[in-house]
Amino acid sequence: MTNILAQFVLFSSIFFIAYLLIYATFAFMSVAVGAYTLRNKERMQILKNELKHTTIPISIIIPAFNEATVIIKSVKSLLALDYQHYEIVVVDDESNDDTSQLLIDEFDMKFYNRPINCLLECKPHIAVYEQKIGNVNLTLIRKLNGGKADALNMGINSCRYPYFICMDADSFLQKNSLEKIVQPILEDDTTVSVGGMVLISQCVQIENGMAVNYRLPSSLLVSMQAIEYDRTFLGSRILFDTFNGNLIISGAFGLFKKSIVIAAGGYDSNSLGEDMELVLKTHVYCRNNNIKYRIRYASNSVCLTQAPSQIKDLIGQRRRWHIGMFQSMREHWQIFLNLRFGLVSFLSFMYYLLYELLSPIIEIFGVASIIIAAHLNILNVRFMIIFLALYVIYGVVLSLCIYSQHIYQQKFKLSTIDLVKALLICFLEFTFFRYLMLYSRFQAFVRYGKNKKVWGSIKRE
Amino acid sequence: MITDIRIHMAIVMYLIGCFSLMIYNAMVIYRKKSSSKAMSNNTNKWIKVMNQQFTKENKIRKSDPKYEKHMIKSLKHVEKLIAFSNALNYFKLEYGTDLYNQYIVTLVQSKVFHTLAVIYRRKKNEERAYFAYFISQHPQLAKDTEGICADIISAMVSYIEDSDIYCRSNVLKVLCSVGDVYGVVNTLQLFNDKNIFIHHKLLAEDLFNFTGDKEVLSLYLWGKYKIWNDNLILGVIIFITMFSDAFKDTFLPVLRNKSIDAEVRLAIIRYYKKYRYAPAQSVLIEYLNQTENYDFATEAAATLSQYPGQNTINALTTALQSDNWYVQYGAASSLAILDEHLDYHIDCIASKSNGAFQIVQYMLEHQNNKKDMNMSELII
Repeated sequence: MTNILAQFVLFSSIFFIAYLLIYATFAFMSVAVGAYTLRNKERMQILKNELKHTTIPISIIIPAFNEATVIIKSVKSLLALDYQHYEIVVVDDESNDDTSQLLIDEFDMKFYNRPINCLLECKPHIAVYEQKIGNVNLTLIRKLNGGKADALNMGINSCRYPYFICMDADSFLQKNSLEKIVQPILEDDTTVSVGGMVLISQCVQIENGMAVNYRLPSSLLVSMQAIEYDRTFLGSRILFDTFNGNLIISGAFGLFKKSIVIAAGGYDSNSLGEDMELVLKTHVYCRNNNIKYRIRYASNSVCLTQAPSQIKDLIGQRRRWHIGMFQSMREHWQIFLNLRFGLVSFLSFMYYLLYELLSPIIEIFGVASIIIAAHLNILNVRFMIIFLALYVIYGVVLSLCIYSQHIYQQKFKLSTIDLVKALLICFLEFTFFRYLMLYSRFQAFVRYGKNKKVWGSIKRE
Repeated sequence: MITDIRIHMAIVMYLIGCFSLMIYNAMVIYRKKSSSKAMSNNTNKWIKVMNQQFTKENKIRKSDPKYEKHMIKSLKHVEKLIAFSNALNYFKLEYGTDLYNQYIVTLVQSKVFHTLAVIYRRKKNEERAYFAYFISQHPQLAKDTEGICADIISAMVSYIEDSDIYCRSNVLKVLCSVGDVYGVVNTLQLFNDKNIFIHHKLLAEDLFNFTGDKEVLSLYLWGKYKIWNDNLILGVIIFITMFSDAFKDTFLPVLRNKSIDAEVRLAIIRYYKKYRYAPAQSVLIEYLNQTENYDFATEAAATLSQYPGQNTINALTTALQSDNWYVQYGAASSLAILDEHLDYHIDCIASKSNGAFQIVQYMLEHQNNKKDMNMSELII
């Protein structure tokens, strides 16, 4: 028995060293590619290598449920965007609060018996209100409750333009975000969707619709999320973008080609991770039908969103995301080790499977191995501590790299206090936050099936 | 033990990589800080140099060969060119357009930018793109006493080969800002021959900024419609739709020709929405009635709103029974505009069970709201 356990510990030690080294390589690659890409982009901007075009018509869809506290501010900010040709469609998924009434009153919206051609399945609408504000058509659709994906499908059914943006009601776009997010379409008309960069609004100071300063806030939890967002949006998303391998376009801000989304079947109302599900579905649809396509990421198109500032909200949010990821990957399992999907299968899908979806199980398996090794007296404590310490230093340095890249790419100022704070937060994020995430992800497995079709909500600030 | 050492080695290697990345980042940040300082110093230097070009009578001196040599040597570095551009903009703001124009004339006479245009041909893609952008901001630099300067333009057109979309777009901007018909046509010909992609919307917008005679340009461009690819022709039609009603006659046979690309024909249908042309009515009705591609019927239904008459109303009324929702929608919206008595006989033209009935009702609600708005505006 002892022999078998010793063999198990040996196997697991090799597995974990390989697992961590692969992750370390991935993290390094994403930071390096991110740094290189951002530097190039900045130089391109200085050298006026830009495509300025604001007439590709875009529909902005905002699914809303109990968003009375933010909806007016959000719509007003969208009405002030620097873009010529767009409409705003708010879909109220039968809120219990005054979301709709506030919009109707604020913008003097008129009731219409507007028919909607439901190409995508969704719960029926109750009422439609419209108003034209300047050049922008604002539409409010009240519908029966069906969840976020269902509300998005209603938005797609009712929007008028060939490209649509989906965004959260508590998110705000920078003034130039639409102009920037259409650039990949102008570069290559096979582009079917574009993800934008999401920043945490609690860190950002806004002036005239543009972020002018970025500081880590006093809330440790929000600060740690800010570092995590930076690592995702300025690292891994850029790396995946180099080979058309992004599997997620954040639900907070993404642009899609309507005809492709409709042909692929739209959002899955039964999924909690409707954003990831749609991207996976797009990959599958285009590859299966031999459609040339690009799924791009525009790091210069910025959206600001509120991060949960309470642990309970954060755990709930991440649990939903993890369940959503599980549902999406299970639904599109055909991508797994499938040559037809190329790097999307062998890099992106594998990464999400091993380092995101299965990470709680693998990490618990790791802890179990350590306990068994200690029990058998074969644990090399010195090596373990050195390895862990170096790994933490490695992670902290990479996070700091990304953070500083972000600050300088966006031309924000970085004071010494900010730098010290960032160092501390990076350390906490790598030591404390990841275990919190591990807990929420583990909960996702335990409580799988309980949260279907529920709107996520966080305490607004 | 050996395994431990190997793992330690691997970890050390990773850490070295990681710290080198950190150092790279720090260097980039440092370089950026120092380059922005250098940029502002260079701009100031150029402003000083420009000021030295004034005579006591507040006129610009004739160009000096030494000064020209210095300019070429300096401006072949793109950072210096950016600083020069900043200084030039400052000069224009500070001293006004007259002195700026005088200064530009001396630059043109010196042929500094002729030489630079050739030098930049050998530069990196993004630097070529910047040079093109610079010229598009100061298009007089690409002109001489006899008009458009062929040397600069041909150098610019040569940038397009092995370039990216940004460089192409900037070159097109130069040609349009200079107003060079042949340059634009040759460039698009190159796009066509080399199968170079430029988004039709971007092309149309760039062409619309053409400073020469747009009518002449559009004639030249349309002359290539049988030769160029559909994407380019689509861009040309969108450009023409933006400003010219002179193609009503020309487009009609193209619209009739079913072998022409669908997007091109749809763009022409939209053209006839902006510019009403009676002979197009029957063709539009024909498109409205066809069922092979509902995009045509939808577009034709919307366009027919500009073609009043009983024929149109009858065709649109029939189209309300279409199997396609978007055709019904287009027909209803046009009927709401054309048929003044629509609200009286809505029941006769669309059965209540039909989706068209709801669409027509919705359109009428919109019409009524508009009328109310107009009334209230009158009262105010």
